Amino acid sequence: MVQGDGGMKGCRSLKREEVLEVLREAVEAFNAIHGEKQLVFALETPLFGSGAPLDSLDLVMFLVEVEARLADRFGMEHPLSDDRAMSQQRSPFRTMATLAEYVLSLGAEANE
Amino acid sequence: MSEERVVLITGTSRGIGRDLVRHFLAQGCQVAGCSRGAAPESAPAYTHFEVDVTDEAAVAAMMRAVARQHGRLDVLVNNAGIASMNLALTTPGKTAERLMATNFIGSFLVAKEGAKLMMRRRYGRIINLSTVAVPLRVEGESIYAASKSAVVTFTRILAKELAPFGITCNVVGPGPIRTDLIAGVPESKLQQLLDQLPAKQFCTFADVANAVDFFAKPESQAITGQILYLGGA
Repeated sequence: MVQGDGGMKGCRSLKREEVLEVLREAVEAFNAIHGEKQLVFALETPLFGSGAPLDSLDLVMFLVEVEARLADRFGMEHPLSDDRAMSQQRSPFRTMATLAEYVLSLGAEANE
Repeated sequence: MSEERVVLITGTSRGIGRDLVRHFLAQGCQVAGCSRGAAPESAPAYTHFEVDVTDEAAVAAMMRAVARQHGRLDVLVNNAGIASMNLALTTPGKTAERLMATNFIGSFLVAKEGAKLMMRRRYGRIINLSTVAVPLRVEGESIYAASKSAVVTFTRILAKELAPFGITCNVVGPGPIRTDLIAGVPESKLQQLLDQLPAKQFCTFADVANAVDFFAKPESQAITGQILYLGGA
């Protein structure tokens, strides 16, 4: 029986460089799929909100690419766009850097 | 990576799900299936997952396995379901929770995770199974019909949300069909139900497969958010 582990139990602690590598790969995958709208991988790249190149559907697509890689590489199964992320006053999806920090915080919580 | 259509069907241990596995295998598809029990089929092109569709993480893990094996998902048939014929006043709350969990939440979770895989190729066909008990409003099936009614509303809205990704979402609602699901229903009750249908006869598996095929075809790209009730309801 395939059973979920309820999120991230067993997920080892993540390093910032590893998370950034996942984000870089997700950017490449997103750009390959998307075609007309290209993301630039840089810490200051805005993802969502004013001045950001992505609309809400683009953001979902990008987050799916990130989630798939986090799950495959680190066993991290927690959805990034859950209620908590969406309800934060300052969205964790503002820039590539804030997204990386958010992923690291989820990883750290799992190992507490 | 195969070029045949990749199809995932839930609830494949018996009944419609098991027959749909055979149907798509006969079409040369790569088929994945899931149920809480063992595989109904042993075929090179069939992969079985023992998964409870109400377990969100397990569903996500299954979808990642499909992604690793095939690299994509073309067709998803949400068939897993349970029934309980009982008057509302004598239905335990736990039974209602179980019905909603398997019939609606399960369909939602599998559709959500399946769509994530489909959207990467901007193509997909999601087909959710409901029942004619929804439009017929059959007494004694209030909870079952409500859970399947939720599937209908969910599908209609999901069709709008996923349209930008080239994913269609539709519903097939079979009439009574001779499966284990209705094994405990009295014949008089079934006849009463059939009498409300213009077709006035049991659905066959071929009827269901035909409707599923219609929605699953690549040519059905403009057909989304539709409900196809069998038997004329």
